[in-house]
Amino acid sequence: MAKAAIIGVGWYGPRPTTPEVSFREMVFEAASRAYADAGVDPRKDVDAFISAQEDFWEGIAIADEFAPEPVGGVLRPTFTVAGDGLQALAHAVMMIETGMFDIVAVESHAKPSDIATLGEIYDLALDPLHIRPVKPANPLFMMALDAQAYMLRTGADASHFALVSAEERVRGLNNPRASFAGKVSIDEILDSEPVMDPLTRYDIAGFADASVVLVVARPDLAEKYTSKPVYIEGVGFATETGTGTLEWHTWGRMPSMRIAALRAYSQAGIGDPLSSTDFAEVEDRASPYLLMSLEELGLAPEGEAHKLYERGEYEYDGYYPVNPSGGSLAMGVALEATGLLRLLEAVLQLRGEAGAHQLSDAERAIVASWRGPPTTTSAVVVLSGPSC
Amino acid sequence: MSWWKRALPGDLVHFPGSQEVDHYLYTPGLHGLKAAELLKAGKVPGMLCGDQLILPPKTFCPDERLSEGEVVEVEGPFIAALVTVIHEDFYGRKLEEPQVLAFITAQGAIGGYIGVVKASPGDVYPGMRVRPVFKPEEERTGAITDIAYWEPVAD
Repeated sequence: MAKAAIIGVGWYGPRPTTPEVSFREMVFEAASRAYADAGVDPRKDVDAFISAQEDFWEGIAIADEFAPEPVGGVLRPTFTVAGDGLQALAHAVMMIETGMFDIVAVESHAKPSDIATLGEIYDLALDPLHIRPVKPANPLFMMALDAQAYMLRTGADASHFALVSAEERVRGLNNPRASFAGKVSIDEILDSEPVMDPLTRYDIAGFADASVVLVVARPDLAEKYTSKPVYIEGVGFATETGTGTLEWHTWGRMPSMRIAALRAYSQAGIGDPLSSTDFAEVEDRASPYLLMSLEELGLAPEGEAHKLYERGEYEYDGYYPVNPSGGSLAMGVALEATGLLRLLEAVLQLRGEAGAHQLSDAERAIVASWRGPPTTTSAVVVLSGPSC
Repeated sequence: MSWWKRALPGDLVHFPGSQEVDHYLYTPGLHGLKAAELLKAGKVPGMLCGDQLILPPKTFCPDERLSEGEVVEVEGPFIAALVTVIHEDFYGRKLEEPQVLAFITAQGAIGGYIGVVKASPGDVYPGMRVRPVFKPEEERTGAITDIAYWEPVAD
């Protein structure tokens, strides 16, 4: 039994820069498209509005008060989830399950091109007593330490990360939303300048401006609005020892993703995700995290993801396609909207609207997101399409 | 919406602004104060949660009981369990000197410190023994920066 249904999607971007619009206009654009897609009037049909955002990204304190107008939420229940967009979606599902809300809108946006000191904001996310004063030369250092821990645990090496980076970026060439796609070889990546050993700049996703809005409805109402509802069968999210205790992090692993996945699978009645679903969209802002996530999601045996990836099991026409969109490595990291970009790609696949990268068999999908360094929060959703 | 977007560079305007985010007084808390005393004395602070050593000390233990730990001195030995050499900053600018950054833990401990290791990038590896080098006593303030850096210890 589905918990909720996505009856409309709208987006703006993702692109490296969007100088033609303000962040609120981006939200307005995505919301207008989502409401048109769903055929709903936000002022009459939508019961509540959820925005996923963080103050520092916006350059505004108490930025949640900037949320209502662009999505049509003035004088209506509107609130912010300070987390990834998939966490906001989880809240929408819970609201619908209470029976008090028929339709909830979920939005998340990012305009990193407006943030003149994005690196310093990442610095500010580090623990102020134990880590920030040490002055790590790159606040994304967690990626490199996690990568090394994964290598030590599994026997993977830098060539496996390069393979992921090359595959994702090439795959993105078929996706008009993948601004960071490109043809690059493993040798080019391995020969390129390192950023943080063992990672090169190809292993780390760029940043993208984007806004994504979803219209989520009670499942029994979905077909009243659309012939292509996408059903949410399960959703879970969890936080590990968080940013304030990054030193307690389980390096090279993502236990929050495992917990989120098990919760989502349990709700969806899924035992083996590989045989029960057709594909996955997985957040991969650095190449090692895709391999780690595959293991935490139960899509690869412990310590084996790099070997299966090397065998082509997750290719576009492989045994279990992962990120036919090119993932974050090809589409970019849109801060708190990153998870909704993964979800958007899965929804378009399930509706048969993915275009040049449409999979032939796409009825049930897993979507997984992680907020990225230095945070340790994951969210996982199980979706099924109209033909499932 | 879409029909009146401007795209000519001369039409695009930005309004520079700033967030006052770099001035803040961080309260270390009771455990933090004890840790500060140890740092000032040239000792590495840790926390005992039952028999388990945890680095660094916080006010709470990473266990199921949400219990409080006891701040203790950690004598080592210390191990750079994970080591990366950072070549570029967040903006892709090459550093004048690569920075060796490590996750440093103590034998049998959960957690560790993120620290700079003063060593040639070619000489560092995960699992290497390191030790803290403290600033001179008169320069210490009770902050983590009282550890000036970590240095390799010959096996």
